Amino acid sequence: MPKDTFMGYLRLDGSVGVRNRVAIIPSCGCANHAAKLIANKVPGAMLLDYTGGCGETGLDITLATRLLSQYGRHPNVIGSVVVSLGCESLNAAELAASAGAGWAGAELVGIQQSGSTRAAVEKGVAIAQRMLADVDKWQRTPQPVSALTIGLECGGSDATSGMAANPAMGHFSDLLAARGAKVILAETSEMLGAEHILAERAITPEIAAAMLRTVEACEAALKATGEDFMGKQPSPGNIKGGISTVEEKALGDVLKGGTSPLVDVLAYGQPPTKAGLSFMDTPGNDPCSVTGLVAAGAQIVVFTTGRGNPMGNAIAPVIKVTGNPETYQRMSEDMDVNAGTIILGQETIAQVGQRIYDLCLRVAGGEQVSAEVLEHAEFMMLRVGPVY
Amino acid sequence: MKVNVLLINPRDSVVTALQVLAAGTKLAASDAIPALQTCETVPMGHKVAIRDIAEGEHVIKYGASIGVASQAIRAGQHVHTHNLRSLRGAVKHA
Repeated sequence: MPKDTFMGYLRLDGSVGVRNRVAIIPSCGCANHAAKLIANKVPGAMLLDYTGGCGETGLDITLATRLLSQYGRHPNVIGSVVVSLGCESLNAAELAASAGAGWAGAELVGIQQSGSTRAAVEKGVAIAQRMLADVDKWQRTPQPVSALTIGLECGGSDATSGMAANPAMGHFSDLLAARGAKVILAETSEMLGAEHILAERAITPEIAAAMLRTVEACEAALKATGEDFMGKQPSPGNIKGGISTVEEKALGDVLKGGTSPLVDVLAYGQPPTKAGLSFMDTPGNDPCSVTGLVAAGAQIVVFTTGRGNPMGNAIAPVIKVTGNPETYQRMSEDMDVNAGTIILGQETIAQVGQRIYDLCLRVAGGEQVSAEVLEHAEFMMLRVGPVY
Repeated sequence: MKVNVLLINPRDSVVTALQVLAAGTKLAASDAIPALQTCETVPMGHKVAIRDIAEGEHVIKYGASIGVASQAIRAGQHVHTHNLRSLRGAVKHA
């Protein structure tokens, strides 16, 4: 029987964290360097590498304010430092208030107000160190799998992704959904040609319609650019790996979601409220998609890759699974799970799915993933409008 | 004979190479497929037609359409971007 608990940090609001991070949040691109210096000086402090916040549409400013503040209230985050320049469009005080509106605190440091980059960095370092000083008060205790939100992602796919890694991830996803966890499938542009499969599994006609509408809107937006989709979806690497069309990629990708019913369709970064499998409208760009999944509360992301993608996230462990035995040999330091055993006939899809599940619970309990060891800490905010 | 291709769904008109297949390699899957050999070299992870596919006919993998044949494809031929085109998201196709 698969285990139903993991060792997590029970927070004051009832959510469960798997890491204790302090988020260093620049409120605009001009404050990004100071924020990076703070994060570099304090172990456990992580830069959210945000570069917008000024000269953008209200839509982007609103989206970024909401998502950055959700990082501040994420169960893996025990405090935030918002670093502001002082003249940006994004309202940094509002961001800090919203980031600190949960059980964890958030404090604001202004560069212009402090008098220099150096002075702002010194203040930010002192705040981050204070937030991390009593980190040991957090003790891990047994927590139910139902407290987990897990993001599902794939990148650098090849033909083995659809044959091995994604079906194994699908088995893992079903194990989680059956235990009341929230599981989020994503990457809208990689669903062109497989959306009917998810729509058929939707629990209501409205959710089925939302699924179809989301993919339709993505396809219309792509066509409106006047550019050919080939070479983007599938990417040049996908094509070398044997994936010929976006439909083929999508039919392989959708296997990540297993066979569970589709309980909801979410906007980019929107926290799921229902247990089970949801779909989130994110781009196929991996750092950007993972940033949205974690903003929605995913404590861990599981990532399948055929050709070998090493990326992580600023505050959440990203577990790497490859279905390509050659990639596992070549990039073993970056990989966590070898699903290439399926291609070689050494393990079944279910056996590998179970291994991903067991590892996921160990990672939730503190075991480091390859991306963390290699200090991967990617962050990329979605931008929908022009920069002017 | 050692298995060298994978048939994902019984409806599929293509199989996927589990290793590089030299021209003239006999196909062997764990499921029943027609007796065939490759017409050309097929890289690992790439597709081989297991029946003749007419120009304009849907190519089936995972039991669903992955696009249409942009030219006639014979059983045993490599199926990829040169003879299979997407019906989705593309604007520049003739």
